[in-house]
Amino acid sequence: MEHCELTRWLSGDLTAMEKTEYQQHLALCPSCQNALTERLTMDDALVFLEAPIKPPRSTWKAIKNRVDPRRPRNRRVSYAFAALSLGVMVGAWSLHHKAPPAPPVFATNQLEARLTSSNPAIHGTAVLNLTTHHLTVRIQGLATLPAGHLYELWTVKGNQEEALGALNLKKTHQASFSGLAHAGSGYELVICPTQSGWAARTTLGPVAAKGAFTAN
Amino acid sequence: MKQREDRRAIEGIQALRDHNPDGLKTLYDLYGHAVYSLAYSRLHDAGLAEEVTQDVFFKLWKAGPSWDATKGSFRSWLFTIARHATYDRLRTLPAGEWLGIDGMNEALLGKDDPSLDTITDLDYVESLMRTLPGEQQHVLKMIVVKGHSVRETASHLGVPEGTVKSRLRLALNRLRIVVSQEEHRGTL
Repeated sequence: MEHCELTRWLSGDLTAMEKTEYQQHLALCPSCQNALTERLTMDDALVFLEAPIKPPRSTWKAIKNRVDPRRPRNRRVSYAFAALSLGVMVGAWSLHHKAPPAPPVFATNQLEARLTSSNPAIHGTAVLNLTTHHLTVRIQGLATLPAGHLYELWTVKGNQEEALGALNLKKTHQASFSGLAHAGSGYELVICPTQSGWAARTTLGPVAAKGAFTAN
Repeated sequence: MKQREDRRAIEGIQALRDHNPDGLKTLYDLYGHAVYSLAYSRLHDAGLAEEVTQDVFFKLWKAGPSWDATKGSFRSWLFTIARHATYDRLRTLPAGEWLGIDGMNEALLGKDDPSLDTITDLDYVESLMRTLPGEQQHVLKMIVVKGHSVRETASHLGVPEGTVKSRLRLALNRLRIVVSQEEHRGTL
């Protein structure tokens, strides 16, 4: 059987009967198997060289977090150090004045954002812990996207925007995100679909929902 | 252009050797599109392609400093890593979803495909691609790179489907020589 059958198979040009015959032949023919692996290698090389698709902007953010988690750790350390320093100062002040220590005061350490859309079916909440910088987002009503598309979560403040990652969208149209976010009061959260299709470049889609952080 | 890319890649690798994440960003800016495109073309899923891209660059963060120029260009070496990661992920999927090719399965692909360990000389493939007639390059890019069907390509170019198939076959035969002549110059 000629190797041109391989090209016809990969192009979807074989009839059902021809395809079955070819696959049975392929399973037993080392020469045709070699031709297949050569063709896959060549196709992969051409795709790699031409690089027709741009990855979602959240990809680099995720890689950066895996290889360089210093920012959040340093912030946690600095917050811990600040808390420890405050404790030492309060302790020293208490000893000096020989007065009973004041009851602990728990400052509000989280911000909330209500996520809304022009479509009233889409609504959700976001909670940002200012101590740990952990962000939790829950939203419902988002439409299912075609295969290859996804919703991305962004923080926006002025001209600065940062992709936080992709939303985990369930079949029930409920979506969630849980991860780190270096944001605060005045930051806006934006959810938008990326259109990342085969043979199409990634473009930022229209805003699906958004909301701003306000103190409790 | 290629020299500038190579120079930036070398700078990125040097930074990796100093454990500087900026080096990885340089390499991601150069090759992130390529890795993601390869993964997407085989997995047909944006989420999986993103995961593979993350895995490849995380591996690069760990193994990049050990890159050996005697085993081929950095781009060719990264291509081999990206292929490995993509096909490893592919093997975790049901057979019906393989490569977007009807009827493809692991048995046909071969579990220990030696081509995955072969460092393909991408510079040579690229130079040979440039020697192809313009109409063959166009057909290759539409069908192989962008995933269009023969019928769509023929319609787009305004030529008969037979002409598209002929151009594709000529181009593939020319490029096939490159892959066939590749020597197994080492594995990762």
